[in-house]
Amino acid sequence: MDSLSKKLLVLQDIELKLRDLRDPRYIETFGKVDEERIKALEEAKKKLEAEIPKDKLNLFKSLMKMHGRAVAIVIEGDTCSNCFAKLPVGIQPPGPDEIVQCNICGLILYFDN
Amino acid sequence: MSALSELMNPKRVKIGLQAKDKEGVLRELVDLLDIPEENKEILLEALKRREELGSTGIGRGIAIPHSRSTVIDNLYLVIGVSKEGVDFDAVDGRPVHIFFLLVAPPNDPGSRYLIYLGRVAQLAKKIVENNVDYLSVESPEELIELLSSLEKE
Repeated sequence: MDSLSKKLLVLQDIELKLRDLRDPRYIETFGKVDEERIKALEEAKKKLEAEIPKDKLNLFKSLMKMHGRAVAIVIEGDTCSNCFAKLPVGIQPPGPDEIVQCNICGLILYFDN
Repeated sequence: MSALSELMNPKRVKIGLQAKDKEGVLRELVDLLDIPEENKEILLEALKRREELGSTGIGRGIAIPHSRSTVIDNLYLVIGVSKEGVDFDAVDGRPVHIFFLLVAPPNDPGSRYLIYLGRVAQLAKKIVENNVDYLSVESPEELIELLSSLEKE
């Protein structure tokens, strides 16, 4: 079972993919993707959203609206990949059902290990 | 905006891909990126998800797999050449011999990702129109030189 932060990371990738697929510049390059396939991606998004607690999903959505992204990864163990701020000393990966946000930019942090 | 060739780096070019299938090729290309192993898996998932929407094998031996991903900190172009060709479910059903993998972070200033995707497609068109013999290229540097001069034409 994926952790909550991993689910949010995947959800972000799906949202970005859907956004690109509808961009005229993308369509100009690759043509229009079959609507049925887009629907399948939207279904996958809905399914994933249903697995995320409402308050966390609302946070995700507001961050996406505000910044165009909601999840950042922790690089070199202590740095936010979005704002490159050093995270507080001793910060630990959250439990599987919890999230931690960057104290500077507010993005949800995904710890890769 | 810089030319596409500015994104080409010999460290991210592989002549003689070994993989025989779609997932193997994607993995081999992603392996050329200097990112942690676990992040490679996340990126691979995103690329496979894109392929499920329809192959990025655009025909005539060329594929342009691509994705945005949080695990990527900059816009990267990875190029791979397979002498034998790989079944990539290309639109024309023919094996793919040259792969242009373009990956980008979720947000990139000036939408460089979409603009460079267009440039890769233009370069692919030139490869076909000029019947460019990229299969006889023997080194990453030689391929970059070939593609750079083609882009400038």
